[in-house]
Amino acid sequence: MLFVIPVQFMKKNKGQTISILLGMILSIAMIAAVSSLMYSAQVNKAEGNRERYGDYHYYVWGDKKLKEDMIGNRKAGGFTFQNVQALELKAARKAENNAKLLFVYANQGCRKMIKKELEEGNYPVNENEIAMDRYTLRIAGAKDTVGGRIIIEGKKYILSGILKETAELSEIPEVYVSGSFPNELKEYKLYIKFDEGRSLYRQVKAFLDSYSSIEENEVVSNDMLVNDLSDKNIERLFCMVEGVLEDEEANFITLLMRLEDGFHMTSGLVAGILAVFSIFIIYSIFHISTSKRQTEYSILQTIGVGRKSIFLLLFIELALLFLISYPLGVFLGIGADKLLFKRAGTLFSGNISLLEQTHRGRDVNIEVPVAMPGNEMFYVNWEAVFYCSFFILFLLFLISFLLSRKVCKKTVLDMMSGGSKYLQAGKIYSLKNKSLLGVLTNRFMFSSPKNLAAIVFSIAVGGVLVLSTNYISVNTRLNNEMAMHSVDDVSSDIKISIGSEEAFGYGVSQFQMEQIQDLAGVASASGFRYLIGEFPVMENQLKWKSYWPEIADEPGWNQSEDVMARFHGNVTETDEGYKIKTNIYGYGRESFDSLKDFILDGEINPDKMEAENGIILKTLVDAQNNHDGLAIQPGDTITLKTMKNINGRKELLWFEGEEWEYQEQEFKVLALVSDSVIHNTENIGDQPAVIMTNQQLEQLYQLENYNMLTVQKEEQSDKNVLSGIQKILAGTGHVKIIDNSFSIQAKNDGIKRAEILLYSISALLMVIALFHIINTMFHLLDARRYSFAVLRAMGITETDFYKMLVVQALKYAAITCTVIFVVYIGIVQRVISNMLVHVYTYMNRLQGVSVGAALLVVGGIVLMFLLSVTITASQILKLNIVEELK
Amino acid sequence: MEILKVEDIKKYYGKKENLVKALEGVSFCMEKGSFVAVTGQSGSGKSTLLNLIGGLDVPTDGKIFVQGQDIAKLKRKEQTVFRRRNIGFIFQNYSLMPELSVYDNVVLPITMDFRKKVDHGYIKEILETLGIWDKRKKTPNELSGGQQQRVAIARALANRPALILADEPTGNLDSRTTIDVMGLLKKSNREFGQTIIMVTHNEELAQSCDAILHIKDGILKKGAD
Repeated sequence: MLFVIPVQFMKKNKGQTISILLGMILSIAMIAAVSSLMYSAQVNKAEGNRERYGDYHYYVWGDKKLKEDMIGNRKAGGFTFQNVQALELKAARKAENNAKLLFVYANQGCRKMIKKELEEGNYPVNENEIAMDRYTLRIAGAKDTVGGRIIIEGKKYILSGILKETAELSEIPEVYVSGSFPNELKEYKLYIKFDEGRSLYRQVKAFLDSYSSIEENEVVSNDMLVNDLSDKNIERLFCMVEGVLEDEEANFITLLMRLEDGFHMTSGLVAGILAVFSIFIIYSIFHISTSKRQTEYSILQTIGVGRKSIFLLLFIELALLFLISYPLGVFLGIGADKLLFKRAGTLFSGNISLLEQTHRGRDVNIEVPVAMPGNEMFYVNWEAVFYCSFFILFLLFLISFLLSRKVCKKTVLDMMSGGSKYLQAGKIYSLKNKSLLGVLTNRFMFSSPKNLAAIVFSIAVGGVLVLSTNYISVNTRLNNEMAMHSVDDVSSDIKISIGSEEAFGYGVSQFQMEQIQDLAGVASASGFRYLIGEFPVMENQLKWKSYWPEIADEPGWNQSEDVMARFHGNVTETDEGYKIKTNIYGYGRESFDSLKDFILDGEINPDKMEAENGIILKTLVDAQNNHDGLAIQPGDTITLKTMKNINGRKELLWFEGEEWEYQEQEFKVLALVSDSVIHNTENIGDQPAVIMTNQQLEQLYQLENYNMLTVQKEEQSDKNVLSGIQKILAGTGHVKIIDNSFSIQAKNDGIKRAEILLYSISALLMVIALFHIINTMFHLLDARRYSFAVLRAMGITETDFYKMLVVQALKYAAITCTVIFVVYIGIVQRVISNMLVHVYTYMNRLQGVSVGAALLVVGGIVLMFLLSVTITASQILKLNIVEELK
Repeated sequence: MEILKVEDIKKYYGKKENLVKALEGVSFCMEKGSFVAVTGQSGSGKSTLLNLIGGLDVPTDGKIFVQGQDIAKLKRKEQTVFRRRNIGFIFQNYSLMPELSVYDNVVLPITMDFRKKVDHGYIKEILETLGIWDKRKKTPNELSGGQQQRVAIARALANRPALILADEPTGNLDSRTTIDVMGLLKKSNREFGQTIIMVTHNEELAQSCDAILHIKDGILKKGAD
């Protein structure tokens, strides 16, 4: 009977049953679709990072014994080595410029694991052969010619091959040698890949237990890969929380960021919110359904059916509906993903992973970023689908419990008589000449504040979600567009840059620049000049002392060999404070517009800059998008120190030479920005940076040539522009051209698709909310049929009847819209904006929900209330008055 | 003065083999101020006759004149307004608005006419006459069956209608309350000059009226005056 009764109830209330089914199917489809898309992005990002940063999870340092032990012992209690490879540290050397070099040997398996594959030539076979990547060649001051000779510490080596640069630079640049090279150091860097089917966190713990000679802080993580792998280990969560609590500088936002990095909480959060929304709808519909069955429940109670059984009846009914709708919803959601969103794997990835393929010209190096293989894979998030099913079942359990309590609270006689729940009136409204129809409308609505609140809230949740999705969508598009400029450096179709090994005076000449501008197919070309300088700050002006490793005083965190060798660090301490090295960029007047999206304070005015010796300062920005690290504001002055001779010796970049070799100038800070749009990251990183006009750099520092150019094509597909540029720059040397046409197009596609998806979700939420309005209003009015029959018997005209219900609908709509906007603006938007800025580090100035979107939500809600009321009213008016009164 | 004239009213439900003839050619007329009972067994068509006179239903054939107005010729809105102003209903199950107080229930039909003002003095008189003035602020669910029926009678009287139609007004009441309610109806008829048609299956109650119309199988058979 426990199954028979719910099935009969479902059959009897077909309309309600279908409403609940549809509501469940749509909601589950949305959860499955969105969580799978996010999961796909996560997996694709992990695979992309695996290609860029290596196919290993951790590495440890060890001796030969440890190496043999680990390689020979693949599986032990609690962990499994899927792969272990050893990088043999052979010797330590110094280049002519005193830069440290590490001679290493890696067999093929190891090189494949750490992605140190050959770009050109061969791997060293003989003792005097070496292979390096271009970064190491630059450090060593050597030419990148295969077969060429390189002298290190007086010994001659032959460059047998050039290796690909990995995304992560090693602390000490590595020179690869043959296996026969003498082993002086006898130390190994052991790369470990655990079984990814199990928790990495647990396996590391088990590994440390097994190899007790290794300390926990000696296990170095390949964070770029490990963080993207799903390892939702509860111990890890507690550990993370503990870490945040112990960190004095950490805050709640830090915790959220770490949860996002480590647990990818966003997809879970989104799935959870959608699940809760769907439950609101289901509760509301089911509540109406059960309230119409009061008599049936009273009869059951009369014959001795207790509260527990009533609860079971309700739960079984919902569970049966859930069992039908869940597979349908999952199928619909995943099917929709696959049908509607091609290349769905890139939808939420933000930056698509790129593998640069270099096509080397004679002296002009052209790079064309291409998409990673596997970027287009779509993965179903079975974990979310599985856990969400339990979450929803739990919520259905809760609904059944709450409703069974409500049903059983009424006395038996109350329910059998359909007992009035109206309180004493106490008032005579007609004495004040008030329209009794208006009074009735208010009585209908407000007689049960709880019911009204439940109805309004369940609809309002949908409206809030629609506005939130719109808000996120608008700002995601803006952020992605800015990220293209800022993070991805793909602001232009073609980017031309000069290698850092050249002096500042070297570069693309004005004449070449004009030739490029005149090329057929070029819409515009802008040139940027470049220099490095230094400026002092007082002790109290630098708030973020831990920003640079040189002054952070954190053991184990050191500045890279490259920066130390070439610049003696990014920042140095003085008696009064610090001296900070800075990139100095020169912008053409047409390029300043691109900075407007990044302005934090002040005004960008090139004329004023030239007239008042003003500059724009790109200030320090942290991972949470805070920018109060440097206490310099518009109106302050900085003293910029640069080399007098821009073509001078490289040691001048240490800024430790004779004073006569430098010049100092005071500049007024006119504006602060969070980003400089163009970036030169090959020298001292890119924060801070000073921005001037090209004219200023020419007048003050005699810089005439351009270090960087950006070119916009008239048509992105035009391949002739690239070859035209190549010809113009032939002979210039050390020029790198990056053709971003593909990635811009791919990113714009990605932005568009993400926008479409977010708007689709928004539309679907709106549809569910509106559908809920229709259903709710229909049943609310249906419950009043007796009262409406009395009114009709007393002589209310059809027009007045419609008017009364329209007023009711408008009141419902007004209350709902008010709740939506109060909740959204007062709470939700603030929370989201905080998350966007500080957890997801959105760069753009957040734009609020558009007037159009707000009007659409309001209009949709009002329209649906009116429509549902009008349709129901017309159906009621067709009914026989006498029959209704019975 | 003739206040009601019913000419050859027919009311059929269904079609062909499912055809039910609720009323088959009923004709009669009523003078102003009379109190007429309509009796008959269950399913005889007496309530159907009342609903047709009250404009709650439409006759298949025939004419109904209330105060000389052929109500079938009126448009729907005009019919509704005419019913509101000229006919008062008293139902077996009282049909009161549970959301409103007694007083507001009584004046409800008047307030639907936005041009009309409520004569509070008259309403007070009615409520006092019916013995429910002290209950005026209560809601129907706080009243007994008899009290609720008094409210329904007051509501029917409030608009000073041409005709009051009472469909089994004592059907849900005990004997003592039945006597009370009948007394009130008689009083309304005498003191307020209301013309009343009362449907009842209670022959005793029917005997206390001015005239009895007996319906059997949809056909009218007149009784003693």
